[in-house]
Amino acid sequence: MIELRSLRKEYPNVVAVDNVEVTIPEGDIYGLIGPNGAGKTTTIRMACGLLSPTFGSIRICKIDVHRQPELAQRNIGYLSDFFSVYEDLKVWEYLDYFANAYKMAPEQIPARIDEVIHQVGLEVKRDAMIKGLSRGMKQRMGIARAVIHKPKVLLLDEPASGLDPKARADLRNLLLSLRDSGATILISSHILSELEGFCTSIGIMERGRMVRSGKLDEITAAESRYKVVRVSWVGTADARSILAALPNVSNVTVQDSEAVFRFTGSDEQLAQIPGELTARGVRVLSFSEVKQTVEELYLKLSTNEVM
Amino acid sequence: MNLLRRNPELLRHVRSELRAPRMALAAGLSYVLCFLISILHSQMTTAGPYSGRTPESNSVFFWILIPQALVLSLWCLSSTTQSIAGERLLKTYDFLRTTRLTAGELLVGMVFGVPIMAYFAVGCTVPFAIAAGLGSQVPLSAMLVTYFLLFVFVVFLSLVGLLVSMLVQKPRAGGALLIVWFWLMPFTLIGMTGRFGFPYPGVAALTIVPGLLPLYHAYTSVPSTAPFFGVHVPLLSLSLLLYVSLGAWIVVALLRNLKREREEIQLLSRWQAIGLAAYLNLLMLGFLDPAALLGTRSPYSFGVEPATIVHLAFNNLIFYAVGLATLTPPERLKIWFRDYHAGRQSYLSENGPPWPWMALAAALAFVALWLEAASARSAVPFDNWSLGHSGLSLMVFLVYATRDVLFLQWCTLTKMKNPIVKGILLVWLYYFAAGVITTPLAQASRSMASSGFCLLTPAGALVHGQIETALIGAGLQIGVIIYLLFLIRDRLTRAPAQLATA
Repeated sequence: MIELRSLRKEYPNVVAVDNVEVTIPEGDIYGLIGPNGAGKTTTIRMACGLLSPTFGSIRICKIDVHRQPELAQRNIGYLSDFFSVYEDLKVWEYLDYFANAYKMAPEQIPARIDEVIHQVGLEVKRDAMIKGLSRGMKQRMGIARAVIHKPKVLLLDEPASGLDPKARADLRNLLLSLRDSGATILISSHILSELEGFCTSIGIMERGRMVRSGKLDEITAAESRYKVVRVSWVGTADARSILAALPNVSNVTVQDSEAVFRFTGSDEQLAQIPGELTARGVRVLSFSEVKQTVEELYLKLSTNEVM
Repeated sequence: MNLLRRNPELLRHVRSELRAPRMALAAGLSYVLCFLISILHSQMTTAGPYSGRTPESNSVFFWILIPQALVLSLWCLSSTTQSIAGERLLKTYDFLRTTRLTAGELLVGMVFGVPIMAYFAVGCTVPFAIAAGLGSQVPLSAMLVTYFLLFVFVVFLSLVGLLVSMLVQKPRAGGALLIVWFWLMPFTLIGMTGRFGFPYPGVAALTIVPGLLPLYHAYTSVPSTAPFFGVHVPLLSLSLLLYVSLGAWIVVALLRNLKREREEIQLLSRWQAIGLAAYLNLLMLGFLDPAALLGTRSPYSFGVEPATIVHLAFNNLIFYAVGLATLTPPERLKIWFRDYHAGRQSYLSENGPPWPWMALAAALAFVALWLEAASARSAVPFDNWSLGHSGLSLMVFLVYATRDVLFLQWCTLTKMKNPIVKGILLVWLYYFAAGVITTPLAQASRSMASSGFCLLTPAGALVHGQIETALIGAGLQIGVIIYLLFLIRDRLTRAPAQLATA
């Protein structure tokens, strides 16, 4: 759905994006993460046709964005971090303008405007002037604008910047509903918790280069040399010494009736640990693997590979 | 018509500007102004100092027309000058660029949509003015022609404003300068064409005023026609021709660049720039009035030498225009440089250096001068034009223009913010410094000061007896050009740093 090939962008004295190769299949939510200035925005601006690459190509739905820009735009919805909206228009007029600008069939536009307004929860503001809307509502307007023409691909550059926690949660739910409706989303953020439990794939950018790119699970599995496991029990037991004595277990930390440790063995070996503990008198209450967050994964990768 | 009726950009401006309360306010204010002007007119014309004019130029219509023209042109110019730059600042322009609107649709929508309130406010007063004009026996045709020409003029101004807005970073920049230029120009041109035997009287048509005066039998001393390729054509028609044709060049530049990132703008392609140079020279050739060279049309004789100077000076401006229009964005110049060394692109390709195209413009300028001399042969002998001397002068101008344009190209490759604006300021500083440095020499010897100035600037190409000094100066500047080419090459070969900021 989205193909970035050998993408490079040079400014007079700096390479902002260097040899980025990414393929994002249909229906994926791809989180582009990295520190400020890593090249995320430049990559997204090239992907939506705002910037032309120095080298490389961008194809969205198999259409070259820079060779056939107007055709490609039919499939692209774009939203940037901080933006303004046309304050002198009403909510429906704003969406009507963009629906026409995306050259939707005129007879479909009124129904689509109502549908999108409902999707972003602005029904009561349909006929209100935009200048009277709150920041969060304007951000929703931005989302509504980006999806008004039913794009197959959404390119979102730090879409939650400047939003309060409630508005962020709303945005997250909205994006999840768009994902469910089949959209492919490329979303950049340097606030990693925003992407947690949301992205199916990630790309980690630093200094203009793509450090890692792929399915989140695959990257996690490839990068994890150990599992982090949490175990809790009832009653009193010297769980620390029991755990520490087990093979493949290290870094055991105990707090009250709970321990967290690293395990480097196989899943088979891990499955035997509750039994071992029970056999030594520990009454196990829960036993689970602690999944790595995107943030932990990013920190691990950036520390290992870049810093 | 469909481009207007179904243009989303135009509709957006109509919706956001023409809300009922605003329209009512604008219309109310317009009518109040018309009423006040009518009262003022009746008071002034009954016993005032204006009672001696022709009825047409003294009518209420004429009194309303002047503020209409002022308001409409200033409003259109200032609003379009702020349009794109303003949207860029608000980050809304990116959204426009990512829609499926074509550059043509955007252009039409902005030119007519951005100043839509100006059109409405002035439009409200038009029926009032026409009714007043009919009451004063002003011919309806004269009024309609006037409004048509005014409309063409403000569309042209809107195109200029849009072009400036596309180029500048901040909405205010450039607007004031343009306004001053446009409002000084008419008076300057009327002065030149009405009182002196200026050899290119047709350029007066750049302002609509002299073309409209005959319709109202006003200022009959100002010529109402000008020769165009030997045929006397009403200035009104020439104004139309100029606005439409010059506007077309601006449209070409806008269509090429309207949807581009500001840093990637290249006003014209190489051949379009050469086409512009040819067109401007063709206009000069068409406007040349051989009779003015003999002083038969006015008590003042302009002569061949000053006419040549005008031609050379005008072409010097064309060299800069061609150079600026063909400056290659740094990124594309780098790509071209690599491809050129890999044998994939030629030196004259679209993203190559601009200077060869300036040389071609100079060749065109010489051909145009030769044609001017040939066309005026009946009035002035061919030899009087000293084409050899003019050719050398053109070369001097070309060398300096090339140096300055290459300097600007080098600026674009540095870390400078707003490199072209800063580069132009530095070029101006150079010429200013050349004047300041050589001025004290005048106390010792005027000729020494003159020579010094002619050595450092292309002025010697226009000063009698200083062409040798100017050529020596140009020779020195060729050294500077070579040095600049090395500097540019150095920048192009330098590997860019990997992005290091976090």
